Amino acid sequence: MLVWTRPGKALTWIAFAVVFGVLVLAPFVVVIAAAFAGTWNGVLPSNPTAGHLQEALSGDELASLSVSLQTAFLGGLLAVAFGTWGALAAHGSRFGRVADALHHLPIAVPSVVVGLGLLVAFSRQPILLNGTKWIVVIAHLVLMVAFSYGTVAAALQRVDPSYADVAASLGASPARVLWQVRLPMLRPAIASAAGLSVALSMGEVGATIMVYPASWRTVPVSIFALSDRGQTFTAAAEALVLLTATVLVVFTVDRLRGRAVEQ
Amino acid sequence: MTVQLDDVSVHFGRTCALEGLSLTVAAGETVALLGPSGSGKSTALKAVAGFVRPSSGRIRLAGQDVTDLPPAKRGIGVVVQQYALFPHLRVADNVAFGLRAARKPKAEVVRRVAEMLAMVGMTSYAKRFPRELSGGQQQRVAIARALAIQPKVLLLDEPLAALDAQLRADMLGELQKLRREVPEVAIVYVTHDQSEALALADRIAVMRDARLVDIAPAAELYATPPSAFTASFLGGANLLPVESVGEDVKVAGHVLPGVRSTPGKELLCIRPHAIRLGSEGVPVRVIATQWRGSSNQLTCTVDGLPDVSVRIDLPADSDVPALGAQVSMVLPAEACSLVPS
Amino acid sequence: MVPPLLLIAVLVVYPLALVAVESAPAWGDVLGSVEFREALIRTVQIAVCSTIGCLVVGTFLAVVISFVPFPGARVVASLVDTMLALPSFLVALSFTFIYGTAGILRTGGFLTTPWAVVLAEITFYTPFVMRPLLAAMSRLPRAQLDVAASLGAGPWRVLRQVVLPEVRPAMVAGGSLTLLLTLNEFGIVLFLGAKGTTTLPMLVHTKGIVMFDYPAACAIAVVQIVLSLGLYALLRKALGGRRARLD
Repeated sequence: MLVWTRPGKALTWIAFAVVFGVLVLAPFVVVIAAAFAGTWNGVLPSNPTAGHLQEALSGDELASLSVSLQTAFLGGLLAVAFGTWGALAAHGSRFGRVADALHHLPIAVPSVVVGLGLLVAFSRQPILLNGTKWIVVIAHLVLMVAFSYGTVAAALQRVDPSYADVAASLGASPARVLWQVRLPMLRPAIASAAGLSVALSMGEVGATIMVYPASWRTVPVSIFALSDRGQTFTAAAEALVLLTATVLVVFTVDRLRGRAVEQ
Repeated sequence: MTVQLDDVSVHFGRTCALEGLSLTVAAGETVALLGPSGSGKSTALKAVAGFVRPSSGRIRLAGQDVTDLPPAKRGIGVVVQQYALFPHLRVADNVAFGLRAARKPKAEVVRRVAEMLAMVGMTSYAKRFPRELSGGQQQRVAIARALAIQPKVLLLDEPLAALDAQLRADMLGELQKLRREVPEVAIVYVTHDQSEALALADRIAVMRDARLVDIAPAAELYATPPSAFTASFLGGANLLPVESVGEDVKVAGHVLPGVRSTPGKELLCIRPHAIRLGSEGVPVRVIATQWRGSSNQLTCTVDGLPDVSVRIDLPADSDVPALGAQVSMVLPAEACSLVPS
Repeated sequence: MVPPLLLIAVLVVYPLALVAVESAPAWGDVLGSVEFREALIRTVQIAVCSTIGCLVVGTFLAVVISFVPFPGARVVASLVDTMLALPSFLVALSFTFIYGTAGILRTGGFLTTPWAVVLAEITFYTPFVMRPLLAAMSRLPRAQLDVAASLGAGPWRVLRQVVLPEVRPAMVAGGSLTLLLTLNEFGIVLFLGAKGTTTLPMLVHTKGIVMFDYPAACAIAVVQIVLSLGLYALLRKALGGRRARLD
């Protein structure tokens, strides 16, 4: 519909394949390949080995995975709950714009700054959290609340208000309207907010690196430590573990979306 | 149960969606709110349902003031334009929604749902999801859901607007049948389609620019429209400026025999199908002809009335004058009425 | 209304306010330091270059997927969606293997230059430009392109006069979002930039965590906040595009 000749199309597609392949796709493929490489001194990796993966799944690195999963689920799911709550409360409220701006603040400023803020605020009275795992969970919660809020608020915009109106006219109390009509209709949005939150939380590095205590080291922090020490292959293997875990988690959450559809 | 609106106004910020509407709908009566979009008809319905709060005025159900009551406490059945069937609930659960909200015993819910689905002919669709239904089927479920709570008042907001022409005609018949099934319910029917209003309503309230223009029994409103707007909106009447000479009425200088002049009413209103062609009438020139299957419609200019064109429906089997022909139109006195301009 | 806002107030507004308060004693030192000024300029340079790169690459890829579709184009489009959820440092990590001293291309010096950061950011943020563009392009009626072609317009003319004006709001939205995110980017710079390139977020980390100089870190953070929010607001206003959402 834009390019009509066969050679023209072929040329366009080749250009697309090169740009997309080299620029966008290659880095991810390279990380995966490196995870299994013993050495990489030419165009292709050599000496295939599963040793790095084994390292990435044992000892401290395995503990990191457990830490990351716990943080992602706790922080991510709390974020979805509060994000949804916030979006529902802000919808149609006089303070909607203020709530919008406040909820977007954590993703508008760098995650490092969010981390610094938490570090400064919670290293002193009245709330002392520095050095505990809770400061990491809170950092993730704060960042993911913004994404959850955005996703649910956007879905709320699309839902026709007459559903809630009709439910009320049938005699349903506001609580019944919320639990039986509004929330079920938002289920797809809430599920994708949950998936996104967990995935982003698994890969979060900026805020985490500012606040984490030695006892609560997430996978991205471990990967950085490995890479910084020059153990790049093990770092790649652990990155692969992170990718796999993220995809699995997101896939599972996606299953939960069920049959409900947004209208 | 009587629905009573007493000088109800609805404002959204600076915009006025409904201005001083007073209206009474008796038990068993169907009143159509008819008007173009933006006329305030849907707002009036939402005010009765409790979806919008009036800025002033009171709404009463059976004499009891419900203006401050939330929708859930009013017990009114509502069918909205796009039906708003809950997409995550099956047909039967949609119909059962109101009964469960009222915590009716399980057996009663089951019985009532079956009854309602049978009434609208949707029994075999009970297990389907709304998205698996056609527009007409969705509409029936929406009506069954609204009637399941045994409301004394039923509000229908453009229930046929989302359907195509053929289906609309069928559903119109079904709505007439439904009316007979619930003889004691007061029905408010919002529409922009005059044929729906004429077919279903006992009385028609014509609305325009957030205000009530006219309200009267359907036949009366059609036969003798009280205003120019109602005359043209309801049935597309021709409006011709007239001069009064004593008792007589003149159109473009020609006296209309049998029509008596009335002070303050300077427009003659006549339906296209009531005009005949004859030898002794008002001379007009044919500028367009349109064959419509069951009739031929002429569009004519009137000599001496430069800004007016007249539509004339002739029977399909009659001779059609040529384009540009000068003919003479006869305006039978019994089909003429005078309205203020 | 109250509990979610209270949460944001305690966990976001209060800490950021404290950052502003804590920064007070360090302003003179920070603003006067060469290190800070260089980082500030570098941050803006990298963000602007990356955003332009993302817009060029993203528009090209989106146009091909939308209007010169090939078998598997939808798979590519959904792949793009998935990439949005992946961490950015993966790209930086892969660069060690592609451009590193012992890697595929063996361009040893490249990794330590700001261009490596720019290239990594283009790789990672191109999907952020593509997503709104793909959405806008899918709403563009195909008939418009066909009619333009039937009127004798070649592909370039159709692209410039029919497609691009129509998707401009999406480009503005995607572009300003990318600019904001690249100004704020940390993961990529952390993994690469430790080897020579310093940006403001990196400096916040270094001052705060490595040198424990909280007041200086706070002062830089305040500059960063003002820079990010200010530039973003300005861009949205100046380009007059539809409201770009952050999500």
